[in-house]
Amino acid sequence: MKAVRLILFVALPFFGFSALAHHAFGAEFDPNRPLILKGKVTKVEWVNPHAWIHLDHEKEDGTTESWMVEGGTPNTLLRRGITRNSLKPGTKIVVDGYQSKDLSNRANGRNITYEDGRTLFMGSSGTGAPRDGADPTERATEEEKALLEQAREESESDESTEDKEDLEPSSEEATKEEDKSSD
Amino acid sequence: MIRPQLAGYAAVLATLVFGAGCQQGDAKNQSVEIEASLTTDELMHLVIEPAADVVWDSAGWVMTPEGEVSLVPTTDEEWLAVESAAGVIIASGDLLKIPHSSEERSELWLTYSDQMSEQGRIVREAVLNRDGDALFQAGASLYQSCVQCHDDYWIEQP
Repeated sequence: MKAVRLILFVALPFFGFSALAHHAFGAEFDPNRPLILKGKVTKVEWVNPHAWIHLDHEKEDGTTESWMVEGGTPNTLLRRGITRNSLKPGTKIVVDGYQSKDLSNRANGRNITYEDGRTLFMGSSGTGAPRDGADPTERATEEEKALLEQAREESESDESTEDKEDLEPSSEEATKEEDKSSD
Repeated sequence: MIRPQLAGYAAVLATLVFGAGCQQGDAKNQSVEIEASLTTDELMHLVIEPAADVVWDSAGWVMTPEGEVSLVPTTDEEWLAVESAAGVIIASGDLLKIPHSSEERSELWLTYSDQMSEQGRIVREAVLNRDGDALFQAGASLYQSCVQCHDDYWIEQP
């Protein structure tokens, strides 16, 4: 069961991959390096084809680290309720996303959470980013549906032997949710 | 900083367009095969992408604690740089239709090529009207056009 979940987590990003050259997720970001950044916005580049949010990430030891996070196009962010005014420097946010392949302090953002608790999708659709459930517009492909169906069937067969709690969303998602709610 | 980059890909484009034009003229008397000097992939990376980047980098806002700065051109020289980039995009749409790019591809490829030229024309119109907001929207529309085509045509990065 856990093995199937792991396969899904690793394999799903590669189905339906199609994207724009150097703006493709896969060209710059690592789907196996999910991260959560929290801190104050220091700068925003409200530009096409991707907005960039710069923030000082507050580390556990009390120090801060400068990061820049890529979002969707300004127009798509606006449609989701993320405006220039809601990202003024000094605004405290939590962003989850994926780190760049070169391990620099750059990330591709998926969800942004404001201090009032609102969580909005800030990523791009159709860039080859992992299908992690963050993008509300994503539709599973036939291959993904088959894999999900297979996972469901295996879950059902495991149900009698596994703790019911273990059948809740994957551990990766649960950890992310837990981290978000603790802020 | 923009100018040397523009000059570089404008020269590449001029060579391609001029070359194709000469061959077209000769074709009245003889059959000439067009041999492109750049692959479609190279055309995309060396010519089209840098031109699109000029358009995208020329509209929008940067917000810092010190305030908000608009990226819209303020001088004729800066506007001309964007118009030049728009021209590259317009002409590149035509280049994508010559056989070396379009053969073995469907009619859809030609539609997307026309779409690219049209987006370039919209960018140029915004430039000629000195309209920063229209330029920003034209940049967004250009990107949507790129994404739409790449949804159907995509070559994996090496």
